[in-house]
Amino acid sequence: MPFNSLRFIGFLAAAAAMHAALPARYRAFFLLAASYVYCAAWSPEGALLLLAATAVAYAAARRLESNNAEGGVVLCGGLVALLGALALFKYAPGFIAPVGISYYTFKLVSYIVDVFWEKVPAEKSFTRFAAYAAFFPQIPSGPIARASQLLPELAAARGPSAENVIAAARLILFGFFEKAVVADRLGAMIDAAKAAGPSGGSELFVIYAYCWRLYADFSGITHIAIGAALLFGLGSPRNFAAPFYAPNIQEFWRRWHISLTSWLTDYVFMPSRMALRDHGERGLAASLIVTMLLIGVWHGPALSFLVFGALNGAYMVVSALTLRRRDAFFAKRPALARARAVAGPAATFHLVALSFAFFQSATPGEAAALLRGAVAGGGAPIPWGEASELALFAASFAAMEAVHLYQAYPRVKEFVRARPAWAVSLAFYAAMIGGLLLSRAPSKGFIYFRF
Amino acid sequence: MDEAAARLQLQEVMRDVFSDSSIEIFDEMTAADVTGWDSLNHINLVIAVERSFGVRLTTKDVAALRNVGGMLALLRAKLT
Repeated sequence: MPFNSLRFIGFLAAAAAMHAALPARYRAFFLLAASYVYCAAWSPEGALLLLAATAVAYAAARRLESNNAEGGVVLCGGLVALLGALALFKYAPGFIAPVGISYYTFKLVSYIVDVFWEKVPAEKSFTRFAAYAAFFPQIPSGPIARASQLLPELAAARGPSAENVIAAARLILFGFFEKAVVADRLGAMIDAAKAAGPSGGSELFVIYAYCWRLYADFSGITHIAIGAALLFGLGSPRNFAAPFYAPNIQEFWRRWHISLTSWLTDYVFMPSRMALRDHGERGLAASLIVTMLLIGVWHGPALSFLVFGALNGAYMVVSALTLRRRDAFFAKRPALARARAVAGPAATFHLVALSFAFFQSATPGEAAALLRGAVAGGGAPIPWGEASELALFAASFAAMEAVHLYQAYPRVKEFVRARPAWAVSLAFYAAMIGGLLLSRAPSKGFIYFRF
Repeated sequence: MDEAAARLQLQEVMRDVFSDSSIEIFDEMTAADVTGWDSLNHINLVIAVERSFGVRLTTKDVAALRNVGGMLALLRAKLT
């Protein structure tokens, strides 16, 4: 039941309506049941694995809270079981990773570590805890919600307000727009460029277009997930904040896949940085590289994901070790600082695009061929499609970015809120519905679904 | 340790780490209140605090920190 299917929309609407109609005390159980129906529809074995992982985390956390003397052993046991299962299903040959295993494992791991660190209490209700782990809007692609946020909301079981439902409808509509109108259109253009054959000169187009396609695709499924959660009155962590306008690479990683990078910051970077803090800049570099390599291989066992992680690790080390000096340099030179405001985001985007050339390729060799073609250039035309399609795409892209800027920058939000509300709503709904009705891009699966 | 002196000492450490001599700390102050207080600088702050106060913090201590008031309470506990 992929999110961009009528079956999912029907399932979501029915589940949300039943949930809202139920008395509060049955809501967590209902969400749990609906989530397992959703998971079992993908694969019954996958649902059983989720149940087993949930039971391990639940028991480990209860044990951690009742007996802190053996805390280290219980924590290690829990982590080995959860991460071992993830590694086995994700990386071992012959195994097929069940839907959502990456995302719910990260939820469960953060929960038992937080209980060990005494940041959250161990949840007593297994129903509520299992509903947190299996919450179906977050199963296919996150965002990775923390127990400290979602468990209290599940316990309160407030259900959605009228404002929640309206906001949810807007988010879901926007998510479909990002996916079906922008991402799938870019996907079709990339396919056409690739079909034109190697060294056609359109490699540069493929490299740039893929960045935006991945972003629109992933941001789209995230908005659908956030909107779907809101239909049950539940909040979600943020996943994006206009990442391609980030002024430096550190800022980019604070604005891209935020729920994953903040997870890795808390549970990988921070502990390893603490452990290596007596080693100065080498300790910092090692912690950053380990974190970024993990981001890379989290996507899968391919060598190209490792290169993606290593490249970003190198960027982060250079940036972290020089940022203070760069800031001091530009602080004394106002004219150059103005140029930096434009050059910084442009350079950051290109560094990211270079790493995404590896991310999108099956092997590093394939990425190298893509990059060689981009540098060599050539005369092959870029497959923009017909003029009307291109115009629709350009307008849709501008509408998507207007919403992203509105979400990420308070100044843009203030500007928009100073306009008449009816005009803003009219523009938004006209763009979304118009784009969805007019777009003829062939539907594709979500990219982040397979991670 | 004198509460007011510890507060002033922490304020000096934070001004140094975040290169901002105008920082005035308060108990509810969090990373959101200080420009440049990100995850990288957070550990730099921890290292600077350890050096300045002559204490050793654990990963668990640092993970559980919520705000500047929490940091002061932690230092008080470590120093007594």
